[in-house]
Amino acid sequence: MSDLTELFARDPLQYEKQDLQQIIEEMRKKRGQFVLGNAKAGSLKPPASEKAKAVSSLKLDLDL
Amino acid sequence: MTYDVRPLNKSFKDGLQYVWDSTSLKVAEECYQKYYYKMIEGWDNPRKGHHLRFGMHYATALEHFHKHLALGMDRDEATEAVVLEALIDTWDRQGPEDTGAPWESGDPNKNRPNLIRSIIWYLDHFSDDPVSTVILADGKPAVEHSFTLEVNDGIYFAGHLDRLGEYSSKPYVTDNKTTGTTLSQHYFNQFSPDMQMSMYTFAGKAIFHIPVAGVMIDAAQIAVGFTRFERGFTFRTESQLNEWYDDTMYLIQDVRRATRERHFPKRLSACGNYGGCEFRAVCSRSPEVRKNFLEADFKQGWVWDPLQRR
Repeated sequence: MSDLTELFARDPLQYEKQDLQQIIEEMRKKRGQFVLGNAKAGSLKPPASEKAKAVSSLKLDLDL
Repeated sequence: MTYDVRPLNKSFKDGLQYVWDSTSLKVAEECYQKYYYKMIEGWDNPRKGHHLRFGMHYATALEHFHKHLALGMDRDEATEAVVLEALIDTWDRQGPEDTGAPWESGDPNKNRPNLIRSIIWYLDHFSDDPVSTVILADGKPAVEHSFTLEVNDGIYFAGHLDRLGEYSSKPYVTDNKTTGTTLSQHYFNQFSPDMQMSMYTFAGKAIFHIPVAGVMIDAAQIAVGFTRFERGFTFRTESQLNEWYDDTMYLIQDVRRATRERHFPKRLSACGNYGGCEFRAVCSRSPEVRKNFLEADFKQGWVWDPLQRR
């Protein structure tokens, strides 16, 4: 299963039917969250907490 | 005598514009100097192009959705068809050999993912829409109609009507707008009076021969994290349309006279409209150096052409 960012980065002429359906489904889920009051639900940017998690998971030891 | 008009614009004959759409009329109405820069010299602000592109893909998707439905496709199939179409149309290729890349608008709101989100959310938001597409006498749905209409002695109106919809037994031209601003009554007030909405109502009546009541505007507020929708109506009576027509003919003849005389006065009271005219920084310079500033900030190429079909 691809995530939305990855799907948007792919040539749509190469999509399988389920890729398109996944985009629609994910967007509908985001709308559902927006209707429930999450005004950032439709953003494709990962939340800051997820970004921080991703950065820390890299375990970089740059030793600059 | 003819005048220097960019060669690609077919809406001009002998140097004078004879085919008019609401966009060119609106520019002329705002300021003759702006009309000169945009419609005659063809200067375009490349930083603003993405608003137009976003709006066109969005409107096309919704228009095609209603066409698919009217021709018998089911909702899910029609949704998939228009989403895929929008994704393909926003996948930019430089040539047949190029693998392409997604359209990068550079705007946090009006960008490709938010375009797709807005299309899908619109179709879900209005899934129980009481508005139905008008079916014309020939059995065809009244969607996607480009028109060129001779109105007066060699002057034409041109444009594109997305759809005719019926609501509470009254026909309306439907129009989709996208904006970054909050949707309120104040937002919808801008459409009365308004050149585009009067033109749409006038054209809807003239082309389809039905008593179009006005325009139904589905507005979408595009933000980083959401798209919000509101529907508004703007009405035009017969006498309002007659008045608009007379005023518009007067404006057209006056712009043609200004073009013949090569004199395009600035309308200084419009310089601050909508956050400031895009040419304000140019007009604020001394005439002898304006061209340098135009060349620095604008591109001279494609010119808005009312005869160009979508």
